[in-house]
Amino acid sequence: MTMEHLEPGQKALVSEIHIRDAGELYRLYTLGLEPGVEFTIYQKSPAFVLDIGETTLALGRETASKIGVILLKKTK
Amino acid sequence: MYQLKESIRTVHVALVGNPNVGKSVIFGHMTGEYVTVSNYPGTTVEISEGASQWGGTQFKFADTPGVFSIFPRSEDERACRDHLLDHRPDVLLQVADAKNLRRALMLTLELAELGLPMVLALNMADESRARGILIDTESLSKTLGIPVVLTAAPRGEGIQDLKEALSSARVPIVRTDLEKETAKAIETISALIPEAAGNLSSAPAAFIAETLLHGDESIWNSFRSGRADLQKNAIEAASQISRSFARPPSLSALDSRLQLSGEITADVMETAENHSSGFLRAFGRAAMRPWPGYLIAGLALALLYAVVGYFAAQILVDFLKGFVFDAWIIPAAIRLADAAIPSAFLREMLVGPYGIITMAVPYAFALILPIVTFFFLMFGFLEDSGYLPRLAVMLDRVFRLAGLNGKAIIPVILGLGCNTMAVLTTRILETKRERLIATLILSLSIPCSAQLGTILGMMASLSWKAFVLWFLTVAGSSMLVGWGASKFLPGSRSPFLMEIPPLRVPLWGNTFKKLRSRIAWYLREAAPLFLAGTLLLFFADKTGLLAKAREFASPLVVGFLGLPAMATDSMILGFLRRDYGAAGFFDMSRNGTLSASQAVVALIVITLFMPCIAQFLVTIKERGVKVAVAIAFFILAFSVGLGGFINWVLKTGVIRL
Repeated sequence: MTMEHLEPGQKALVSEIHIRDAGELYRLYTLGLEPGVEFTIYQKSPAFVLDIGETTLALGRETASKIGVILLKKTK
Repeated sequence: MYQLKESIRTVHVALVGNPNVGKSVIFGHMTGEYVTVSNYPGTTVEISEGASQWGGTQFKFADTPGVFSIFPRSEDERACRDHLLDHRPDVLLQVADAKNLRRALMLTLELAELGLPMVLALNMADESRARGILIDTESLSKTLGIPVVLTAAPRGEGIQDLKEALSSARVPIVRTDLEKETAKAIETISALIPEAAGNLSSAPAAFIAETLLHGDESIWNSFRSGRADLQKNAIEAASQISRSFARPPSLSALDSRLQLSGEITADVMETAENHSSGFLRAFGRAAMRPWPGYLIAGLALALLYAVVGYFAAQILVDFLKGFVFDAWIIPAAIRLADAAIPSAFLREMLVGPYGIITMAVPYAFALILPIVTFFFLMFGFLEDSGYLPRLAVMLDRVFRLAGLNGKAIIPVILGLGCNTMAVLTTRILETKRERLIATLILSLSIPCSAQLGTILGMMASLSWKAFVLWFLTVAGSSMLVGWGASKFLPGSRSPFLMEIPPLRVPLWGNTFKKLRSRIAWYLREAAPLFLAGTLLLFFADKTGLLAKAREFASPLVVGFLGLPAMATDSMILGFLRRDYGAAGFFDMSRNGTLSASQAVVALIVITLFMPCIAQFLVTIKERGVKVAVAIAFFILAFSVGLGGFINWVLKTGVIRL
């Protein structure tokens, strides 16, 4: 399951990141998106928006589709 | 004697930190100098310097662009790293967002490798407190081995403590234990460094070795006195070792630092669960969803139009130009000149049809200044609120068509203020390709506030259809040219990834300070060119060159574009500044010299026309002479060609305005 399959309002855990490009991976990591991190997703369109702790991140669908996740619980 | 020496000591302090943590605000407090401060990442793209003095010590401060890492991945990260190596500051003042301690510590751990005395300022302490975050600064200071100070810079909280802490800066004691394999690789490469570098006064060998292992060769630029052949050897050794790794060593080093920063954060930080989701938070979220996000974007634009396009460009301009200048100042100046200046030549230079008082001054102060002022006021408010990154989310898909991603909204919307500043801001885009496309779009089709204001002012007297035609032509050209360039240039679009700062109520103090500095900057930049343009026209008119130019350009201006011959004057001005050219057309349309379709053609040509001289120079600096000249020629041909096409379409009568 990837981030693309989540619904707004759901909480999930990053399980793996299928990105090869070291530069892109580095950006994700430094912004706090790394395996083991918990996040809440708020919207999927026009871009994905999620909260990791106190940080809000926006990312495109192509990145979201490369992030493997484990669903934690449904809040809605 | 010792005291005398103390009293003339100069301490160089470099401010470093993640993007959008408030480095520039702290810089302002430390030096008393103002640098632009906004609520989005990437406001500072150049290094600013300032000095100050207290406690018998002279301090020199350098404000650097925000970075995630000093193993650079982008131009601004490289600029920051190079500054630290080339200037080797006495104190590194790291500014951090207290809400984002872990990310700040990641950078602290990297900076610690430089072996410089450091101070850590945990800024935005007010916001982190409000969110229930408690940080044990004493314990953090012990772990890191450097002074740690809590600040809330816009309110001036903690600034005094920070000033005092600068004198007790220490070299960090914290060290990251890298993975065995990575540590060994760094050791191996380090052995090659001292001889290759020539001297190691600007960075420890291990830091240079790790940088090479990350695949960044540009670090040798800071060691020009070293041996080029040995430097090349070290690069090769590093890339060979790096290839033998299953996972890039840069990521392994990142893992180790992430882990350590996570452990330290867990030790010193406590978060009280805080679910108070205030209005700003909810509104900030809503502004990114299609509904009501697009409505909010529309309302924001409508408000911008009401203030800039209606109030400033129409009511205020009518008052200043129509009443103050045309009815009062200019007739008085003419009477005065007639009575006091015997030389007809000088008299005409001041109050003739191309006179300084009759043309340059009213254009600069009655047409453009009110518009620019109100645009910058509104724009500053938008910048400080943190709304712009939300707009980037909303418009990501639009920018995709032009080979960019949503992040490009920041240079583009800044371009609506001033394209020259905006070209500098393209540095926040990740790839060379994206910076080039953004520069091209900025140069071609983003009107600056002065130009936009005059355009909106002219639109007021035209029909809505004229506005739609103008807008679609200009927006369509940007998309088309961006799309074409993205097909033509090698490489692919980089993925959209952006941090969204919290929405804040702007502090009027900052917004006004920024407004004042931008207006001063505008006057310095534009007023001399207005004067030069007027003098150019005056002399061209006197020597008969203007009539010749009109005659020469007539097939193009009158025949192809269908404009009156006088329009040539405005186009000459347009070569100096597009807004000056637009002001010329604005004046003609107020006099009733232009018909509706002529006005639309003129507006389209001048909107897309040559970038102004200042922008052209910045483009040379950022992209090189070849690119800048190529862009200029392309744009000249494109704008005139498209203007001719629209003229032809309007003449066929398919569209009636």
